[in-house]
Formats: sequence, structure tokens, C-alpha cells
Amino acid sequence: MGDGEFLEGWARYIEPMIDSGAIPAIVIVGARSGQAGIVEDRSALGVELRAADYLPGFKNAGDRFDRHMRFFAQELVPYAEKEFALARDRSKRTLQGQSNSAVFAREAALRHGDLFSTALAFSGGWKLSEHFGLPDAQRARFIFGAGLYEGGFFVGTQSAARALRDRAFNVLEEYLYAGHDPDAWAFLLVKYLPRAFPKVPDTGQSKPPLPRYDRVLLLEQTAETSANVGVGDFDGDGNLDLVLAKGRHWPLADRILLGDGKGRFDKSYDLGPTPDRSYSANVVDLDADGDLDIVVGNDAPDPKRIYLNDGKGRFDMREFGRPEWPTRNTTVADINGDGRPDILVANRGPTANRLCLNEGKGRFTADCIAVASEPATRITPADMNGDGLVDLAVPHRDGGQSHVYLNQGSATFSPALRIPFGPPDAHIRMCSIADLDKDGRSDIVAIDERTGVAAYFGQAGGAFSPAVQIAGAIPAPYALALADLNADRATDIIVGHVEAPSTIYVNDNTGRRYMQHPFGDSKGTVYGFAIADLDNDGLPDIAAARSEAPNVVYFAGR
Amino acid sequence: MSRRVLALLLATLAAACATPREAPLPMANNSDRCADLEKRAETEERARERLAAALLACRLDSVIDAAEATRILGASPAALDVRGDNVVFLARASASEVKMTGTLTAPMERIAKTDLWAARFRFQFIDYAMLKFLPFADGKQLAGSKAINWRGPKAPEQPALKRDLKGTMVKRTLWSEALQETRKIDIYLPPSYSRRRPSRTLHGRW
Repeated sequence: MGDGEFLEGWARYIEPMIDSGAIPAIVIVGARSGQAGIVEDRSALGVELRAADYLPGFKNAGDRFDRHMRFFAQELVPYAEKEFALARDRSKRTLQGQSNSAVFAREAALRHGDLFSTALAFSGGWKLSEHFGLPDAQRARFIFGAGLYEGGFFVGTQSAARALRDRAFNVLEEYLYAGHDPDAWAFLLVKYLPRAFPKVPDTGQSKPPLPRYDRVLLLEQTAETSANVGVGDFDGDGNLDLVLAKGRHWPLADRILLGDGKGRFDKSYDLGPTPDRSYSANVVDLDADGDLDIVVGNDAPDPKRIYLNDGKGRFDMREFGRPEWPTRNTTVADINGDGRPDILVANRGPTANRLCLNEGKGRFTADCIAVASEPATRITPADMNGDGLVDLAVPHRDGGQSHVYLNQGSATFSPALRIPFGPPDAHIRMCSIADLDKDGRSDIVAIDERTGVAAYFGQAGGAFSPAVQIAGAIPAPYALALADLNADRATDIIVGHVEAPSTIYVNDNTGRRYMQHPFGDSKGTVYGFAIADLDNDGLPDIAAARSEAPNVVYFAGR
Repeated sequence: MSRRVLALLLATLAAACATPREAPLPMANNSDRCADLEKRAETEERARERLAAALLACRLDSVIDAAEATRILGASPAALDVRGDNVVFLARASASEVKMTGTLTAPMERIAKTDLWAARFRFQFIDYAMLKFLPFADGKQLAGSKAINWRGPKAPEQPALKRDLKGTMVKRTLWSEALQETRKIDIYLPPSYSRRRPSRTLHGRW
């Protein structure tokens, strides 16, 4: 540990994998650590440099970790890209480290999932930092490993893996009967590198099959007016639970359903004491206490609510925003870059959409900021131009032009700095963001109830392509989610319909061609999806919130 | 270690053996008190996890005599002896302090009136274990010793290792505005590398 000579050591394990075809050819880039990795004499700093660079909050290190992170993400990565003509596609980039450098790999993946799709982190025992604000499509996945005989390194690794899984990150773990041992790390590296760099994914020769979605669990027996579903571990038992946002225009109680990790949700209870007209339930740690809270977007005249978790799945109800807003959805992201999740409120009607800033401990600014005037039923936050700031995709719901509003810093948005996408008369219910064609730019998928499902590809200069139609408007699309369901590193599209089966559009890696796979029944209308491995079988399951039909989970199987 | 701390550790250890999950904590309405309790619960849960982890490789009294240690060591400066789930780590060193590193980092005990040092551990699931042992005497690697590796019959196999790389190792330096210093960079380029074809990247941190 501690200098770049380790890179050559790992190359001796990796080159045989390339030779055998276990992984494609890869370039390895390593920055040496500590004083041995620096040309100038830095002894005057008086701190252990390797730890200061790799561990957030290391004692007496000041802002060294943050500056080193900037060096890594904003200087080393662009340098390597340019100097060695490396791929700019995040799906072709992986972070790796062991011990303290595993902590850094983990933290870099948390902060820069837009740059890296995977982190292989072995025996990193340092406490996980709270950087969970990236949109789903920019979340890295984590492969953790450690030795069971290495005490705190093992416990810390396990703790970080658990915390990320609780927040619905994609996490793999393997623990060996070993110590803090390079032999163990070599074993883990060789075993899991093919997961990070799948064999020949671009040609489709080893394309993993799409799971079957024919095992169905009704979450309730009655058909009500549900609008959305969220997922997270609410009661701290290590299993994923669900929250159902119910009501829409008619007051109903939102429901918590506790999962047992085996695909059953036998225990359930009302989220709060008051029935309301809920459209959305976002799962996020609002008060930085380590457990998952819930933001509920309610239509007028109901207050907009947050529910703060006590860590055991019991919630304390608070309010934010204004009851009179015609809210159709809320989304959550750190818009002003202070590390706290803020709330975006999509209002359909003359009322502007709002940004409610988190002041800490679950308190929100009394006067939320008007951010965009388009009537919207969901605002999608994502860094669209790669400047590290979260921008807003605001689709027009009622026959107008949709826009991406660029974040000018400190959560400032202006009509003067917005980019149009889609037609001038759109009726888009919602959109989602991902790099569909793997060109390093963010693309938009939108469902318009009059024209169907379309993709708008990010282009050089920041504009978006004309619509690339993926499906028509019959059946009418009402719900949208993006996820890689067949583990081929390409983003697939999941669409729910009115009185028709839902459809998975499987991306062939180009982003422009999709194979359709219908699933589920034709009952009711699907308003929202949540995708996560609910039965711990390693496959992504799909929870669907429906109106006029019971809410349901479709379990993935082979 | 004070008697009180020891008692707490033993009680926690017993709890960890019996029930790995925390017991319900008393509730309080005062939010600060709740926060304190939550912090304490988290700390105690972590302590239990650490103790449970420590049980996986648990230190025992060395209990080995000089003659037996000498026989096991032979002419070597260091050795390990596996008997069932017990492993004795041995070193021969004229030093005031000897420490074992590798799988475990721990002080070794001198066998009375000799230059022999020992440490005994019990390992759970030793058939699956990968053990490494390298002794340090007075802060330096024990003269003449090299790392001793031992693998149980069911341990993972050592991956294939290539001594002579066909790929290219490149060394560069890069000025960092963020750090205001020049960093040393190592790059491995695979045999098929070409600037004209974008390559996948493993950003390793060493």
C-alpha cells in the first residue's frame, strides 16, 4: 500500500483476465498516495497524507479530502481521458481500492456516480458519509469485500454496505475468512472485476436475459386511488419496505408495508394519522439522522407533509409549503449543494413549481422558491450539463414547451438559462434522465399521453435531439421508470399504462432500439413504479402503484 | 482497562453471543434525550458487532513450551502451526518487542527465558481461512523472515498471476490546482491498447 507499485501488482492479476477474455481490455489509472505520491516535500503539513487524502473528516486534515476529491474527479479523470483516449461513458469506468483507498473509492462513487458506474471497495472501515443525493440513473453500484478476521475493517465495510442498501443502492458483498490481506483483495478483484466490466456487452454476444416478471404479489386486496410507491428500509431490520402514496383527488391514508426480505409484506400500517390526497412519496434521510424519512406530495387543499422516522418505522408528521398548491408530485435532490436533500414540488396549474430548501434537521424554508412556470406533474432533477450542479427537467403537462432549467449555482434558476426539449405543445406526464446511448451525455425519456414514449438525446452544446419515438400513445402511458433490468449496463425503460399491461423496453445498448416485453395485467391505471430487489434474490423487482386496481409487486425470476 | 469497562465489555460480549440484536431501549419524549439514546444505541450496537467480529479470531493463552516451539521452528525465524482451529504463531528474535502482522496485527509473548515468541489464536471456519504471518521485531521486519501464507483446504484458490506483463506501464506526473502539488500517476495500458479505440478504465487508488 502507499505507492503506485501496487498498480503493477494488480495488473499481473488483470492481464490474464484480459488474455482469457474474462473481461475486455481495460486501462488502469492509479495515483500514488501519501508523500511517495507527491513530487514536492509536503512534510510541513504535519498530517498523514494518505489518510488525509482518502478519509473524509480525518483529524487535522482540514479540507484536504475535498481538495483531493476535486483533484481526482476534475483533474485526473479529464487528464487520463485526454491523454490516453479513454472512454467517457460511466458504464465503462470503475473505481477500486483497498483499506483507506477503498474508503476513497466508495466516497468518490457516492459523489461522482455520473463518472463511475461501479466501486470495488475492499476492507474500507471508515464511516460512510451522507452523500445520497444523485438521481437513480447516476447512482454507482457498490461491490464490497473484507476479511472476517480483520475486526473494524470488516465491521465498517459491512456497516457501509448496509447503509447503502437501506437507501436502495445496488450493493454486493462478500466476506472471506481472511485478514487485512492483499491476497484476499486479489481474490475479490479477480472475482468481481467481470461484474464491473462485463464481457463483450456492446456486441450482445453475452447479453444477460431479461428476468421474467410473472410472479405477482397483491399488496392490498382492494382497488383504490394510489399514485405512487417508494422503497426503503424504514424499520431498520435490513429488509426493504414500501410506502404507498394514496389518494390523488380523494383523501386516503398512505400506507407503510414492512418487508421480510423474502418478498412478503405481511405487516402494514398507516403512515400518518390524517387521510390526504397524496400523489407521491419520496424516501430520503431529511434530517441526517441515518434513517429514511418520507416526503409526501399532496394535492390541494391538503398540506404537503414530511414524515420523520425514529429509525424504527414510526413517523413524526410535519408540514411544508402551502396547502393551496395543486401539487401532483414531489422529488428530492440536493439542489443548492449544501449536502441536504431539498424538495421540488410540481404544481399543475397557474401556481408555479416550487423549490423548498432544507435548513437541516428536517426543517424547510417557510417561503419556497418559485422555480419554473410550466404546469408540471413531475420535475426531474439531474446534472444535465456535467457542471456538478443539479439541474431541473420540467416537462409541460398542458400543451406547451418543456424545458431543462440549468442550475446557476446556489439553487438559482432563470428562464434566461433554460433549454427546450420536446414539442412546443407537449402533454408530458413525467420524464426521467439517463445516458441511454452511453455517449456521456444525459438523455431524457418522456411519456406524453397524446404522443407516447419518446427519447430526447443530449447533444454537444447542451441542446436535445428531436424526439426518437419509442412507443405510441395507445395504450396511454401513465407511469415511467428507468433501470437496468437485465444487468447489461444499458438503461431500460419501464412504462405503465391505462388499462393495459405494463411494458419493459429493453435497450440494445444503442439507446435507439428497444425490444418490448409486456408484463402484468390490464387492470386499472399504473401511476408509479419503484424498482428494487425486494426478495433478496439479486434481481430487480417492480412495485407498481395503481388506481382502480390493487397495488402490486412483480417479482423478477429466471 | 478499568474494571468497570471490562465488566461492560464482558456483558456486551455475552449479549453478542446470545442475541446479536439490541434490546428495546426506553422511550423518552424529550428529543435531545432521544438523540442521546439513539447515539448510545448506535455506539453499543457497533461495539457488539466489533466483539462478535473479534470472536471470529479469538486470542488464547499461548501455552507452548520452548522445546515444542524450537521443534516447530526448526531453522526458520518464523513459523505457524495449525492444530484443529488453533493456530500458534512463532518467531525467534533477540528483541525487546515482537509483533505479528499479516492476517492479524498483535503483540507476541516471549516464552520465558528464551528468544522465542508465540501467539495463539482460535479461528472460526479455519478450513476456509487464508492466513498470512509476518513478524516484526522492535519495529522492523524480522531478519531473514518472509511472509508465511497458509490456506485451509476449502479456502479460495490463488488467482492466476502473470510475472511478465505484455502490457505497458507508464509513469507520469500531473500538477494539481486543487492540491497545489504535483502528483505521481501510474498507468497500465493493455497489450491491445490503441489511442484510436476508447478503452474502459479502472481507476485504482493506491
